[in-house]
Amino acid sequence: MVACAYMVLKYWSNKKQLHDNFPSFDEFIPSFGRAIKYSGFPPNKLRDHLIKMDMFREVRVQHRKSNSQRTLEFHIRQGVPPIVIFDNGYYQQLIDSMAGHATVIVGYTPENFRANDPFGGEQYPYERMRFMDSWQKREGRYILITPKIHLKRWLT
Amino acid sequence: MVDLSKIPIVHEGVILAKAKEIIYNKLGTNLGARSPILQSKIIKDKEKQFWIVPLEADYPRIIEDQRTGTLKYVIFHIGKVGEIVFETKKGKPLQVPRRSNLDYAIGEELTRIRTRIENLLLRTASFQFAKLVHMKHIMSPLLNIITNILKHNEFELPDMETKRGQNIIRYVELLEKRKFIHLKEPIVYPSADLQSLFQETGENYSRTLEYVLKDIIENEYDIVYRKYKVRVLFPYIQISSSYYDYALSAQDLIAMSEEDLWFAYSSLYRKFSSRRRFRFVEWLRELSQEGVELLYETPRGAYQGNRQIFAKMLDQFPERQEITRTIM
Repeated sequence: MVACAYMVLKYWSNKKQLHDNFPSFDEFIPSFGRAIKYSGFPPNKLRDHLIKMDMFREVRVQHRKSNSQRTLEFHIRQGVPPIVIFDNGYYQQLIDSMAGHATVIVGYTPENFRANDPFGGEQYPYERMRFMDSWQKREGRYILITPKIHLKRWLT
Repeated sequence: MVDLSKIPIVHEGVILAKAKEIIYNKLGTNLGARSPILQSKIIKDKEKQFWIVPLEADYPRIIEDQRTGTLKYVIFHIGKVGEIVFETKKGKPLQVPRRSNLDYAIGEELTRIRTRIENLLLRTASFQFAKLVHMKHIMSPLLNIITNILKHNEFELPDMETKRGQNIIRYVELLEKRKFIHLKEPIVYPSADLQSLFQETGENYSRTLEYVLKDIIENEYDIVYRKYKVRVLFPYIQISSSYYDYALSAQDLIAMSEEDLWFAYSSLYRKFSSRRRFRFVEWLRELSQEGVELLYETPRGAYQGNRQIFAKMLDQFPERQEITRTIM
């Protein structure tokens, strides 16, 4: 989850939509302190920890649900990579697991979603149907992290 | 008494959704909710109903195998670690466990697994631990007693009032407990077992001493550690146990980089000091030196376990496969 948030913020930084002096991952992690524990990280607390760093005060974090592949495709087309939480155990072996896995969806093809995955690496292909089933095992949750500067585009 | 069956209650699907919401908002992604259970309790002479949602945890671990350069994604199924209690009329949460309590429960389970592996390793690889130079050095009083009684067939205990005498008697007690010696105060004699062991090793003193040490590590390590405060073996056991913990969870004789092994050791045992990190390389060297071979250094500088030890441990810990699942 934290690695995914870092990836998305880095993406916005590369697009010059965040201030310079983007922190390294080692500098980024301490703002989460002891929040990453055995029980994992509660996704809804993401913003609370991000705003501890001055440069992320203007970042908006939205927690959403969907049951449609088109939602993910829409966000990718809009250039807002969604962080998707799904059941990786179910995706890989059709075994229900308690641990949720987060990945950043960065693209799609007719067969796959492409993800920059903390475990699978860059452009990891997730087969659509299985991915949708594993995603719905986590109520179709996804997170959007956007800098407010990006949102202004819609207002002007 | 009120007939509870006539009071409408919130559907279990709604309760489950609420529990999942609480997990997402407050608890953490390694937790999941099982199906709610309807329970009734008598409180102040009134029967009340509650929805109980058991919380279970899976703990993921990512292991990089340096042999193949691939990552393995392993999940520990921890089982139930807590529960959320809801009232049944409106589905209001009445009791939500504290995150710290859930973490504690998961940590306890992981420690239980870790201890089990440590004990298994102690039994399986006691001969390797007995060969460690540090171990021989710290146990030299015990080895001196053995050498003396094998050479002279007897050994007279020193004055028990002196510090030296008190130090020696505790090792004598240990050797007597393991039936290596007979004590007819103040003389110590070798037992038949010790003499036959000496014969079997071709009257090789070093080898006999290693077998005695092996037996003590295997059977009396707890006493040596707690009573005699011999803690020199601890980092060696913990480091090698960290490796075998990871290897067993991956169910493969993986190769780990020094950095990954340090991460495994420091996070499993909560040992993060820079002093330990500094000594870590030397501990690894000793664990992989000839004769000990609890680990092997690969040509690429990674560390791999001993095939025989790994196979024995895998054999003796069959339920490991129920606890862990290699996902990828």
